[in-house]
Amino acid sequence: MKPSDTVSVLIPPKAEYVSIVRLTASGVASRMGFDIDDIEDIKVSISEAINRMIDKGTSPDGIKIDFHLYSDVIRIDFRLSGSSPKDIFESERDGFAFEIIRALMDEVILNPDDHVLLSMTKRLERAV
Amino acid sequence: MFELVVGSSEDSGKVILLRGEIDIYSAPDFKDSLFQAMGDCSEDIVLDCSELSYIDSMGLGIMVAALKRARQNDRNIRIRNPKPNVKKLFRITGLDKVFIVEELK
Repeated sequence: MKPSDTVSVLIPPKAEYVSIVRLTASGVASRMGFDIDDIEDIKVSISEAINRMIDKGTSPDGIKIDFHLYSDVIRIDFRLSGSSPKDIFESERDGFAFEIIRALMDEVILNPDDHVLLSMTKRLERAV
Repeated sequence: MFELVVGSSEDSGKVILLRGEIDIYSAPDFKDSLFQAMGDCSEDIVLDCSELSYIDSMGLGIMVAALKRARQNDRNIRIRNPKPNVKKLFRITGLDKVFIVEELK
């Protein structure tokens, strides 16, 4: 299914830019109708993924994050640049980060295709 | 934006207020300031998290390192009044069983 909209952010792989992605995530998710708790979950998950990517030098040319917006789902893809290592959760400390992401997001897929390092999804639970 | 404020000592230990966000950018500053504030671990530490708006695994890892250091000196670290999002992270990582998490009015 095609997303209705996609918002992309490209940041240098430096710690000082991670908060900018969190702010973007917050704005996008808030606009879709996610509540504060879900927005916090998304922000933490994004940071955990980017932290690992910065730590491992996975994307020296920049880290690209695509926010795909569907009617009741947000899918966040972390795109791969260069021919760097693909497993960003290989050590024990990385595993800790991965568990956090898995606990906070509805779906997490590592390397869903050749261009995406990690894909995570959060569903919008609408009040009935 | 992150700030660590060393407060006064009370019966339960030295109170250290954490304010703002602890992430990959502020984590080194948090680590240095926290370890400096702990000094020679002569008393227990209370980390007042009432104004801590954000933390991720980098920050939690530093808290665990600080706890290890405190315990080596027969001291403890208490986490006071964390916001719901911070408390949730302690819960899903199991650190709520490792630290004493307290809610004070």
